[in-house]
Amino acid sequence: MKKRYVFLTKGLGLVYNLVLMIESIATKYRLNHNQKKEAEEMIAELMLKDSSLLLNFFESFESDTNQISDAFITWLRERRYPLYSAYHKKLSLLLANIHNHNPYFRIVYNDNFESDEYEIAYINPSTSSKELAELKLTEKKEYLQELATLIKGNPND
Amino acid sequence: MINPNNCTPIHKILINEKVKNTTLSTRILQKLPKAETILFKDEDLKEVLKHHDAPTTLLLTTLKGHPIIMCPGTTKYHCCNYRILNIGHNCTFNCTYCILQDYLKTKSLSLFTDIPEYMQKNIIDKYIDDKSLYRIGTGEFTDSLIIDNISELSADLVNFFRDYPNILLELKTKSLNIETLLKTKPANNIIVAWSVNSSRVTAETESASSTLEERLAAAKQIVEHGYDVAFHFDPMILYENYWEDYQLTIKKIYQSIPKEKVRWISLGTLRFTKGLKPTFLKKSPLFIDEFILSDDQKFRYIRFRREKAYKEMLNEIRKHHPEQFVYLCMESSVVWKNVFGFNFKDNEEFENWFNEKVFTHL
Repeated sequence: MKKRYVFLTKGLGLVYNLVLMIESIATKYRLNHNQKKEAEEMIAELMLKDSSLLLNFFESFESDTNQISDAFITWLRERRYPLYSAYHKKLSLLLANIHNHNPYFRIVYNDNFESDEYEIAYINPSTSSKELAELKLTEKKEYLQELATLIKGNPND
Repeated sequence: MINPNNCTPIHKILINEKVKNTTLSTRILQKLPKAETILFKDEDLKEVLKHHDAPTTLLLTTLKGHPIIMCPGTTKYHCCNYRILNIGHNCTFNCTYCILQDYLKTKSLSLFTDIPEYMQKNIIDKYIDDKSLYRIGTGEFTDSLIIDNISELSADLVNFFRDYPNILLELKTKSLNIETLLKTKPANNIIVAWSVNSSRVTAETESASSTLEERLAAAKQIVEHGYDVAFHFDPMILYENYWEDYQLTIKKIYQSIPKEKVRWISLGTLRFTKGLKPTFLKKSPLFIDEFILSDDQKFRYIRFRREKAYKEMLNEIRKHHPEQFVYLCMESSVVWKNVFGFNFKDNEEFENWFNEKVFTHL
């Protein structure tokens, strides 16, 4: 009975610490409701892996941006999902380079990486606009090849 | 109470009066003379369970619905059009990753003891006259052999299906409950399958069932008796250094079982539904990992890791048995293409391919 009491106290202590931690983080990094919820989930999952995770873990977060909440969530995602974040970062960069605010096409690709192919969606279906899109796509050939390689995965795996 | 090997002890039997006189119910009651029995009316099922639901309770009741249903599988991913012979529900092995506990609201094992009667009426009508090929299994909503020591249902099934070579019956288990099968004349269209895993996964998440070595010893006995066997690596858990452990399991399989007797091996990595995520990760340290929400709304390891694991497994299996039939459970078209070099346009094509490979006795 005594052992169970100790265990429960420890468990409650962890939950209490987590609640306090989340509140403190939400205030410090100006998280909105959804960000707070997401942060809570990620921190709880990180703590499942390493129960000694404490506030000083967050001291390694540094940001000079005005969007501190977004930066914090991205930083946290990189710790909770390092592999996915690495792939996602590469994907975002490539898509940004390919799109580059062009008004003719968009690359359609679901970022869960379940597919190894992307699609091209033309913004304006007119022939002239499509021709301009094709021209832009030719200019972006190298990035498109990089994208194809990324989503196919490593052939040596 | 009877509890040979890792069989589930039964202390109480709830009997729906609709099935009290079936051959199967009578047999079970004779096997468990000391168990407390409670007879109830069909309409009182919920009330009875409210008071007597427990893992050591066996519910003998009537099947509601069709005895054979399509495997629920998953949408958007390749499924093999497996059929389920619905013999009962639940499992007391309580494997940590199992979603039965989340889907089923009761703890008791249930057995539909009118299933042999249903089989006569329905299977003959729907399947036997049809010359198509069907793969049917009983191990989807329960473990096929979990109470076979007291039900001896496997003997009824083997003896019924042996005359219908267009049906391949799979009895899927983690138990060592093979006594009845060993007393029954084997048939070429009956496959006894074991779920297997790395020793670490077995020890940490399947502790109420048997060890890998025990399962392989049981499989060996089954093979020596004349049945063919199959193995399911599902769920494969990709913890750090998982590969060496899985490699060892593959090695042990082929050290124990003659390769030509292994009719198939399936592979499937860990997956769970969106609704289960908050509780699932807490169930075992082995589950703490990165998962993505895949196209069927289930969480899976990111595709690149799944493909790598499947390729490793396939290569290792083929080292031992180059012609071994291997398939993936609930995987995407892309994963099939990248692992096997081909995929299917739909589930029917997958089913036909599967049937061509495994109905070797026709």
